Amino acid sequence: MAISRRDFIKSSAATAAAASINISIPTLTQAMDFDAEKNKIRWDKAPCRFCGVGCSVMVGTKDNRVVATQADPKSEVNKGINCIKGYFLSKIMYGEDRLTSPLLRMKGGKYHKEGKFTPVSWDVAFDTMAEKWKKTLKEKGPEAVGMFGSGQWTIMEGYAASKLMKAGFRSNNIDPNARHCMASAVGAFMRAFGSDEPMGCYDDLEHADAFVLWGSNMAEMHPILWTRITNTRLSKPGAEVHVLSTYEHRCFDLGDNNMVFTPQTDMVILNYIANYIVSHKAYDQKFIDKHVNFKDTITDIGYGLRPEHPLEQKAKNSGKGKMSEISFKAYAKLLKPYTLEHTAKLSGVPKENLLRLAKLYANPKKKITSLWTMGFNQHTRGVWTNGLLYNIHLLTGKISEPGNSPFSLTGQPSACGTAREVGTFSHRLPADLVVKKKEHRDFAEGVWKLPEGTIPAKPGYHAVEHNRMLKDGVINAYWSMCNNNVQAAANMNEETLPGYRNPDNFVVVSDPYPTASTMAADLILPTAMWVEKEGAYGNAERRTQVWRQQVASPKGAKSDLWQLMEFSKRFKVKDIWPAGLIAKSPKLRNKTLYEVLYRNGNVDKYPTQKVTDDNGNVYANDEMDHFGFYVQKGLFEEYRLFGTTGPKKGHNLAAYDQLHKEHGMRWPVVNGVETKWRYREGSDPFVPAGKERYFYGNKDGRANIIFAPYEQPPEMPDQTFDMWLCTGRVLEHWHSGTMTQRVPELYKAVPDAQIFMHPEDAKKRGFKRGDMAKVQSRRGEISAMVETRGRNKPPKGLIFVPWFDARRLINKVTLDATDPLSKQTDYKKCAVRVVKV
Amino acid sequence: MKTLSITMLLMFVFAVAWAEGFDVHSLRGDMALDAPSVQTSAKEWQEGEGKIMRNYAQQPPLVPHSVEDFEITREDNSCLACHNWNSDMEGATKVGVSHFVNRDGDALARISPNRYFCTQCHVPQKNAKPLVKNTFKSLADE
Repeated sequence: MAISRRDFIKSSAATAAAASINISIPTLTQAMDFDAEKNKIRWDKAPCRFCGVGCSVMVGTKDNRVVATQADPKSEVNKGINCIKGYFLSKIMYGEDRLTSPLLRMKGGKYHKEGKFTPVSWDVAFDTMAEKWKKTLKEKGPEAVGMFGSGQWTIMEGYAASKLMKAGFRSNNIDPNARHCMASAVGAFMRAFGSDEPMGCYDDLEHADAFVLWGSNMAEMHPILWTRITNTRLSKPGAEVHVLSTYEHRCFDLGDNNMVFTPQTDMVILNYIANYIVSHKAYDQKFIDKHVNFKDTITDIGYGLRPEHPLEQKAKNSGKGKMSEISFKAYAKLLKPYTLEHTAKLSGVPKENLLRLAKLYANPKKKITSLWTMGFNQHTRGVWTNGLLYNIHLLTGKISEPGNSPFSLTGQPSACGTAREVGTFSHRLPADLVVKKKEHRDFAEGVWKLPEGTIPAKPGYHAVEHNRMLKDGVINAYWSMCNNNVQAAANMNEETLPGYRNPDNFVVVSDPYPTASTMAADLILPTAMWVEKEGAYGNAERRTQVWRQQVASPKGAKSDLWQLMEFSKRFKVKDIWPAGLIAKSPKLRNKTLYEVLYRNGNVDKYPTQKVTDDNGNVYANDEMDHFGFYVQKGLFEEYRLFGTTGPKKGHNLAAYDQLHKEHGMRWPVVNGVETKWRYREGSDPFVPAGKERYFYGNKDGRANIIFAPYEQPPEMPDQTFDMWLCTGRVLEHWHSGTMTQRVPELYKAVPDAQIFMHPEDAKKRGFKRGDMAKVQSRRGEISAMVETRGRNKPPKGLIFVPWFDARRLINKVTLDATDPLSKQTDYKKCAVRVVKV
Repeated sequence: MKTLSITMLLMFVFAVAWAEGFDVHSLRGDMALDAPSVQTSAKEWQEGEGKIMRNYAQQPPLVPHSVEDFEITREDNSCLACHNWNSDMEGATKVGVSHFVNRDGDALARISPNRYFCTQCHVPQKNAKPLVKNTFKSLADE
């Protein structure tokens, strides 16, 4: 039923004319086709592929293609609304340049580091890869192989990858891109509460009276949560919104108390508020007596740079995180220097705004939800800063109750579900377990039916070290999946690119599309994405969401899960494990890693079955067909044992079959019932009766208030590089733009990354709006257009550049300094200058 | 059948082209990773060309004009001047009934506060040629 634009205009005009004289005429010349079968769109739920909000969408398919997407009205998260990206999910899989064949750099018919990309079969790809892995393992051992994963992996993919690396290759050199995104949040959760992830949930957005945004542009990065905050602010009497940022952005349009502060001085403001609360005796003494410990942390801890860097040499306690018990009195004394005067001077925020914010937190009648994302996490004192905010909520007892909620938001669809909960970090195991604790390794080896000592005790290299170790030739066989780290990792020129292109290294990149990372690879593996496979994601409010495979992937592309499991078939235990370990379990000797890890009686427990929904629709499951058992269910159910039977309580996930039916459930799920507020009696089943609140992640059930002072960032503007650079995202694009830049509507909404700049700064340097300019740092440069009146309005002395644009790689400019505790990069501050092209 | 033969033809063409291997082009086009940024120029907003057709019924309409001079703040939403249900601005798409229902499903007299910031779902378009063709098939084309 095609109707041309001309016909449409003509018919609209005729209808309008007819309506004006009150008659009706048929508007279409062709008969409508109402054939029920032909007309049918199959709708099924799936979580959105983008950010950590975890909206549920309904995916409309017809003839094995996605033809539409719409928001899921049954989802508690988004109740029938999506953001602009979510509405265009239907197009993300259909970029014309999908990869459909493995591509290997070859010269003269065989692999060559400097060769051209040549299509090869999956067998040739895996054979070449396996040869490199075997050689590396034999010559240098497990510490010379590495894997870079993702908070966009499905839960099962992350779990399968973690098993392959930690238990198969026996290397802890697996780390996710969530290291760039959530590691500081994790560090602070563990230090304060002994258990990762928020105590509250999105319901807080309706219960709260006030919202405070600390370094989070939710209007663009978490749009659906922003609609919920807007809803509360505009419809609840007395509701207010406070926004803190290093530049003005769209959240300021709703804000009642907007504050632009000098980078890094959020730490000063947080300590000032705590000081105000303590000095005005506005704390909750009863809550403190029952639920809180006070601690101090070791200072002068460096910046996570290479050890030989002068700043690390200078730091007294580089990388240390030791805490010591102090009294409330001692804590109060440490806060003393953080006066209103001092804070206003350092932060540049007017006193009246600071005072208003302090009074808000001090008001026992106001329910406050504080929210943050990368402003706190991508921070060289990220763990400390996250902690300073918990301090305020713990002093006032405003925690673990509806509306009173310190809420750490996430940036990726499964940063929580996969990276954090599965523990695909170099130091972690599932359900908050860590490799360095023997008890935890023993438990994991027990679940996995592996001999004692399989999992190495030493944490592996973290994400930022991966690139350094590739450059130094310490890691030689490397596999990157489900992300684009060549565009993401800071200091590309000096670390990432030399690392990937080091002739000693073999680098594999799996991706649905050609990206900057694939350009730097030696082997590219074409990958199935999103609803081309069955999967599960976990969002920022502990909600696990499962989806069915909706369509087939392009011929030749395979899911990450298929790739991991197929690759594991090429290794025999006897070839890669030490004799001593094999001796503990001789029956494993001749088995492949595939048999040991995935045919262990757990993962292959569930036979193939028909995947159906309540309406009787039948769905494909390519991995189930290929491997001959229900792979996703088996992996999930084995993984679930960590939460239901593991040494750390409160991590219980719902059963896989139940998750297929629900529109997501928030863990801990006990007896089929989800938990909205953790650590709260009556809500969290792990809180004993009479305790009211109980932070059971710590042995004594108490949370830690941890004092930390303001310390300077590693690089600040000076005479040569006279401006701050802050990087981030825009609403219309997600991360490195691999998906959204291929959707024409999203591309045309924001085609180019721009340099957001104060008009006076532009004028001073001779730039008009729209001129090309160069952004230079000590590490590299890019050029982009100057924007002086866009959605972001930086103060004088600061520019903002988004990182989605592959044609101007801002990570050539950014600094690879990290929080020394979390190892997360600070992408929000470094020194640059802006000059003529 | 037609699709299949085209695929086979393409495979043949690629097989010839790929015999010597090739460079992978990302969204950077043919720029190497260590090459400087692609030069670009300011692009105009699509203006006055009529409504932009939707890909499917559930897609929020795109904005066929610049919104640079419009403001949506707590106090004022300038989009509603033309797009509110009772505006008499000719040609302006009126806000749909879904926007008068709040999160709890209550029908409202005025626009729902959770739909207040229009630009979260409705965006204007620049005159820019897509970097990569998208092969999504709209039901409107059937």
